[in-house]
Amino acid sequence: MALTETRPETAPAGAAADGGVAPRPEPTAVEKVLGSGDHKVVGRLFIGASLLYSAFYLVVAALPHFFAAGATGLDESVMIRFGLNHPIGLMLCGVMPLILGVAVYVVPLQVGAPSLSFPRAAAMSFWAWMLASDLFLVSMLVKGSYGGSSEKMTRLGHASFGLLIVSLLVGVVSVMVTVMSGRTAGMTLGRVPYFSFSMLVTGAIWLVTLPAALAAVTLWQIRRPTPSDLAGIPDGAYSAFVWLFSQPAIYIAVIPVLGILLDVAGSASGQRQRSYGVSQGLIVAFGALSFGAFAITPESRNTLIWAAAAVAIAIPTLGVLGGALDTLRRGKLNVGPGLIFSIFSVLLLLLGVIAGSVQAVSTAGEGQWFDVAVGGVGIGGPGLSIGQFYLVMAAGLMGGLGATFHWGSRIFAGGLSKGLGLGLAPLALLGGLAFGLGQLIVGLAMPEADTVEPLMIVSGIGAIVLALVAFGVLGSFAASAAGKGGSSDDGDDAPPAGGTLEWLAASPPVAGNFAEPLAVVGSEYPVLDLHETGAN
Amino acid sequence: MSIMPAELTAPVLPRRRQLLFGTTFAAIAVAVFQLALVGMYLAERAAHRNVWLAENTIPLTQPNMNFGTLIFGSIFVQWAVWAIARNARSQAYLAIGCTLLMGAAFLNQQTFLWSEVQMRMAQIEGPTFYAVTGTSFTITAVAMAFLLLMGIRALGGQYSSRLPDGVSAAALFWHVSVALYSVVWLAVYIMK
Repeated sequence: MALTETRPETAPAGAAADGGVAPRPEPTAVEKVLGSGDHKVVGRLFIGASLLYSAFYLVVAALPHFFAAGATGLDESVMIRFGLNHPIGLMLCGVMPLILGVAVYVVPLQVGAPSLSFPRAAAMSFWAWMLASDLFLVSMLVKGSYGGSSEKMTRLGHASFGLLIVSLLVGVVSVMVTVMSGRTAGMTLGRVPYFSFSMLVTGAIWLVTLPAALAAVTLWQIRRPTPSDLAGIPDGAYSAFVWLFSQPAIYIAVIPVLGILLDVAGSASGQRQRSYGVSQGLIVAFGALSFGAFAITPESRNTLIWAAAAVAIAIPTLGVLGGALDTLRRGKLNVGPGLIFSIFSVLLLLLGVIAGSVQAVSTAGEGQWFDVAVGGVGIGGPGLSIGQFYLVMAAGLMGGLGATFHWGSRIFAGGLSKGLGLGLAPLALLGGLAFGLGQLIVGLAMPEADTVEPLMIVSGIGAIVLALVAFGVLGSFAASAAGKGGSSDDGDDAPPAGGTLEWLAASPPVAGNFAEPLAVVGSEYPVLDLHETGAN
Repeated sequence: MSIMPAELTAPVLPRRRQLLFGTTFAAIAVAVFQLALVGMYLAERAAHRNVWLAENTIPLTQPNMNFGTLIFGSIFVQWAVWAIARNARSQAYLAIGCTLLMGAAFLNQQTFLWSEVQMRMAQIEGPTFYAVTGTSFTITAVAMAFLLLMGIRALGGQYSSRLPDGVSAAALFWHVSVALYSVVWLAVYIMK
């Protein structure tokens, strides 16, 4: 069997009895986890691990804010490292793998495929990502990574940043190929569910964006940078890829949030999205406007096209939000944590887009049109840019949490606790708002130093609240994995079911995902078709 | 008496164009990576125009030969695709072998070029020069390994006119590697 083929998840019945090869012994629990190419196992691992890392890096993001506000007992060198490295951790160890993990689990179900394409590559993607995340964390904690004083540990952090990018790219290619070649009969691209479609767009944008950052990492690895280079001096390695944490590139992490909201809205209302293709077009437009590899140098971030893209990205965001609200308006609502999280997620994203538009309008052309502190992630000081980054990361995290709750019943029997989700969602919104608004107000009002300190505390508290939410969801996720979670204790109603194919699968899905061969798909919502024609 | 059962179910084919799509996406990522490095090379050269390649001479013979070699490889690999799609297996193996030979010649010539140029990593040009040309070298080596693997699988009967995807995918990656080398050839060796 070649590397590119999928190992059968079950041995054919009676193989040994027919004189064939005797069935292999049942793998142990550890072997099942470490050696599995099953997309459901890999997806669960991705989701769980990225929730843990999200929570951790939110705490890492909070501490420098408290330090800037004058908190005592925090070591300055550690805070510098935390300040420089938390954007990488939030984006590449938290938000992006969380959404990728949901995609690895859900996309094959949505498109009616028995497994993910290149399942072993997806498993390799997870384990490589896990290794890179661990190495990055260790290097950051042991006087290394960006801003560190240990040269070897600094290089280790730099190399693990590159490995993070490679592993995420491998994972997203598996998801993209599943959408392109694994679709069931009748499912044209125009009928692909929104989340899967948004992952296809996301993957395309990641493929043309992340390798440019990887090229910068590679070049600086060859250059054998010294720690002082990596600390963020103008010609250093950090500034070679800091564009990844500025608009428009930050939006690459949240393109699927739009797909999640549209799918969740359809499920929660039991209605079909009107103008399906238009909404798909809006997702494509959002993806195209988030292409950031052209804006690598500071000069390229002061051009008309950059400013226009920063403003124009509000149009697809508003369009998708409006489309989802219209779908919700037309149906009988089944409000669950997935819906609340995903609406809040797009609202936070919209706020981030507005912040980015203000920044773009202000800095377009020569000088500034009006006084704002733009700032910059890692090395640019507090301001609008950091506030926007935090809002977008919070939006991505909440979108991932919304997806985890929404498809929870596909991931674990009974799903995640609905009551807990409904309680955590408003908390997450408050945390996300505080996380970004503290920096945004600094950027817009440019207050005196004594006023900046309370605003830094607001941002720090916001990060801590979000971290607690991520820990809470991780706890619910772990409880469900252990068979102790689920909405059965909520006692009210069944988890929402939608019109797309994943809702035909058992909870959790069987080996091969679907117990029976699927009928030819005739519309965007084949399960709704089944209900409407009275079939089972 | 035949030992075959009366009715045989058709073997399950891999999903449609899975490998082609995967290769296409991987090739896009590789292309962006290489092009970004070329962009950094050009930016570095523009910033140090006065001292660029002041200590070294890059001969044109090897780069030109390399380019020609890779183009021949493209012709051979397309011959392999043509042959496997028509079940002309012996032709396909010959074409794959010729392509690999061209690849090996490229790698050999490239290492010779590096020894001729004698550029040190400590020079201003060093990191970007080796990043760009080393990436080109690596991409070609990966394309060769991919083609070799697909050739072995074709030898095992996995690819034929019924399913030529593997050889087509390897050919696609080879063509992308040649296209990327053409950019390197122009940016690094011609427009010095």
